[in-house]
Amino acid sequence: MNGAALAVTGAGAVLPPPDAGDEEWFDHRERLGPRGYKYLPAAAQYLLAAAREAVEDGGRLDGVACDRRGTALALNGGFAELFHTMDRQVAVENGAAALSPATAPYFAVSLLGSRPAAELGLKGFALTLATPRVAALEALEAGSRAVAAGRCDVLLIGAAEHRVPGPLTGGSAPGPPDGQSPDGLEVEQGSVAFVLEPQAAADARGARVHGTVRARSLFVPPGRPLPRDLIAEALERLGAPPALDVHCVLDDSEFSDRIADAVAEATGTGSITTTPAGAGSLAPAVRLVRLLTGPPGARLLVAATREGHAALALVRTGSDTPLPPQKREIHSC
Amino acid sequence: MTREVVVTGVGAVTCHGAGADTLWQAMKAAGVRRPDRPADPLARMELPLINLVPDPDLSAARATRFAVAAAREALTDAGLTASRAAVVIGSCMGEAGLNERGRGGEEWVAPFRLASEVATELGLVGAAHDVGNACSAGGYALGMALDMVRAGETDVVLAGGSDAYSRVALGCFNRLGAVDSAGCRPFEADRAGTVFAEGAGMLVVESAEHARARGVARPLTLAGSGWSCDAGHVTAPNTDGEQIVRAMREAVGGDEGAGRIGCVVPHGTGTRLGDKVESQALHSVFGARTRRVPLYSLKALLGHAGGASAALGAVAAALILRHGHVPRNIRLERQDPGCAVWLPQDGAVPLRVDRRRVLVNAYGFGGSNSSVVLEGVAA
Repeated sequence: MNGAALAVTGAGAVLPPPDAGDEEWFDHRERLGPRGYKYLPAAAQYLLAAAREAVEDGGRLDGVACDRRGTALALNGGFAELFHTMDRQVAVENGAAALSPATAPYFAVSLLGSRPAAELGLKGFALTLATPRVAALEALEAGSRAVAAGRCDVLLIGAAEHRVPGPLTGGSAPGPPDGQSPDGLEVEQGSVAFVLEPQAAADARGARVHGTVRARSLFVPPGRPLPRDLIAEALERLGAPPALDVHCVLDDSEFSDRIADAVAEATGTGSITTTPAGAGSLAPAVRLVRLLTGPPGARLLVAATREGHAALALVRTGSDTPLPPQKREIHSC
Repeated sequence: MTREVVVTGVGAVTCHGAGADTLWQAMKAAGVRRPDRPADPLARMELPLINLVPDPDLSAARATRFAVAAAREALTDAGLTASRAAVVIGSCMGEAGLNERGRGGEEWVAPFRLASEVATELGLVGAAHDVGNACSAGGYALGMALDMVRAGETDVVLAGGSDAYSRVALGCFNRLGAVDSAGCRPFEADRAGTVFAEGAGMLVVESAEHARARGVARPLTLAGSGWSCDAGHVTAPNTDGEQIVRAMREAVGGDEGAGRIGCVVPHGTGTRLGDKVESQALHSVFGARTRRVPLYSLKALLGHAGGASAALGAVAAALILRHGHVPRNIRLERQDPGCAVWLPQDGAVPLRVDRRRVLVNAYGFGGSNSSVVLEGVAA
């Protein structure tokens, strides 16, 4: 088992309203501050806002030393639009010398998390996962494993996306319909963030706990049969109880269908709710927020992609009464 | 109880060609290699310099091809026909070339699909993770592999890193003034930046009991891993080196473990501040012994392979441990007196029997730091 399930003590979601224009929904001056954020790529702005929300929601990071605060972040597209713009500048406009020095460092996608790391003193580690579409649940899995391995005591998990560019050649091919990526999935913008810590630590400070989560990811090469025991083994490692409600985030691939069928069979369960996957890593993270802030119970979140990735997360929400808070030292960096 | 984790196979693709043995021969030869100019007419930048893998097909999915070749070699080296194995691959840019060459294709393609491509090519069922931790990605990938095996989640992980030419990355590095026109010259007094390189390094990371059960004799041990984050400047390391010292100490196992390190493969990219901070940090970790710990400056030989650099560093460490000595470094014109570390240049240095451990460092933008330690068996 991947260590104990971690308690979610703070959650934040910065997402466009359904009728929002492409970028009109987010004003970095209003959401982040009047100065200093203009040149931060949009996905990084969204993540910073979501991380602040998660902390304001109760996810205390300053209860442990900066060296003991870790972060695991996810993106798929993320900076794709920025890359596209920079490549156009290099290749067909004024060359590399015309690139903005403020945005040039962001060719490294791990800079998605550099601002939250600096503002929140996340010095334990900063891990970035970019596996298509399941990256957010992988960040949860890898981050939780790192806590179990002793790499940190409290964890910020985040996923952020901006959008993906249309046809790169700008040539003959028609672009995808508005709001869709080239492979027909909904373009995602925004960010989701969580603060997690061991249940005992949350109890010790009298924290309100949204719930506990534990994740496990899988891969099967496209076209190969699913090993019979694959899902059952994953459920066992998650410690999943029988007769779970299942929430799936799936693309339209045959692999996703097979994973959903296998999960239904293995859980032998009640209801399955399905949400379409988006073009990035956000959809499973958004569903996770909704499960954590929903009614009490144990639920299984399943994500699968046509590339052969799948991830399962066991989410438990309940009505445990928090313990009275204990005095706790606050650590600044 | 913590499971012991071993390394049973390695594979490499570098600017010197394919294969870990090719890398070892290049390490022994210690020849200076001048940077290449990619055959990319759209590379409109002052210094379009990179050490290319000798593979003429610039248009295809190079990072994927390098990763698959290195992974296949690592499995063969391990004598393993795995069907259940996880794959963890670090990369700075993923397969960026698909969205760049000739100004991209008709549609954008998610660039970080190296792990799934490798798992698919090799028919591996397990888990497949793409780690995007810039130039420390390969070190983070190895740390993840260590955690996965120690946690009992899997017995075998193919872990490493791969990166290939990216016009965006090289253009941005040009804009940041971080390219040295003379080549990648870590620790030189007049160094002026780095030179990127293509390449991939892959290692078979395995539980010791799994390796024993299939009769592997004398595997190396993946003895430690440390992660940290400066949480400071976007591109520059913190000058106090505090977090890179912490990552190294966690990897080596404190002062006692530091005493057993027989060689360091430094991050050492040739940037002015980076090499100096790392040199000072090594003094913090090794104290008075620092000048007697040989460094092997792999980037002087290969250039800076981005997210693959730590994985290639780990492959080099494995080769050093297998052969029992640290090859001489490429000769420096004049070592920076601010980098007071030992870079043997006159001949190979044998590893002492009580110091068969090699520390590999890797640092990336955003202050993303990782260190790993490989250990050889006693002679």
